[in-house]
Amino acid sequence: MAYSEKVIDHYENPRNVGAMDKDATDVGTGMVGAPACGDVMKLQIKVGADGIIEDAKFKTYGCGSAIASSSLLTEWVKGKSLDEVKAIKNTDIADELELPPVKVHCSVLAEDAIKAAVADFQSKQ
Amino acid sequence: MLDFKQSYFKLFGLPETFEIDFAKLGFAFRELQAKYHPDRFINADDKERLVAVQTTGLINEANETLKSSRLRARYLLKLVGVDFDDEIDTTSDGAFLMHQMEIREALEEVGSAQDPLARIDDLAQEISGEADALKDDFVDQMEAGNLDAAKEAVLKMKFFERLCQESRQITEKLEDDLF
Repeated sequence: MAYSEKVIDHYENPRNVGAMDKDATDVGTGMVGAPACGDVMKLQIKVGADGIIEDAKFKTYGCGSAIASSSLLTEWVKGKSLDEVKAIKNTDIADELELPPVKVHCSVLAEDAIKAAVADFQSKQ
Repeated sequence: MLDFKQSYFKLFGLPETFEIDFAKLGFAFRELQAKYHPDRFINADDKERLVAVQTTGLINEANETLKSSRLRARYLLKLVGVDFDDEIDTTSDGAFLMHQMEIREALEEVGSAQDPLARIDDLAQEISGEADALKDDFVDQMEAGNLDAAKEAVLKMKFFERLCQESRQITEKLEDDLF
């Protein structure tokens, strides 16, 4: 199986790797795991007073597709509202990265992670 | 001809339980493998040869499934009608995942420990201890008839399988570096 150039680019130069204070009230943290492969993904968002996502960070232990899916997603969510972010579908990610069918679950993981991050942020408000 | 519909356990004359007698499995596997080996059907007709190949495939798959504690547990659940969907099953047990992250981070930092080999030994022991606890949990949940909780334990086993692989790789690399 060959990775697309976009996956390789995100894998070699992941955007927004890092961590934020998970206890801060303006930070939402989403953690998910894929039991099919044992990948673990943590995605965090920092939300401004206007409800717009100011910053996003991720840390993923997994394959190239899982890293690329979360890296791409952190780029996408910056500057968006929570509702816009919740509308992102795993298929958007899979299409953008040209993921092969066996790797689609990596994009599912990323979608679940951002939804969990939004839910975590909202539960703190 | 072998009965293809019987469970993998029955195929090898084993009881359908999580704890199995590995010596008995190994013996029964080799016996069946020899009995149905495609080489024994070289002079048989096409249909018989095809059946022999399929039978060998089944015997091998059954053996691989029962040898692995995770696959054996998963198979036991399938026998009682629990489905797995690898494409959409995700784990969102926060505390469990946070702990997974911590172990992964600890593995990443082994190289910068004062004594990396001692550190990886400790971590490997911690990981296998927790993996064993998960097996016990699976057995308890099955006995209590909590199939959802038993499935959750099986899904978690995969994460520990990955951790075991990773810690083994790190150990091998550290040992290679010694020489």
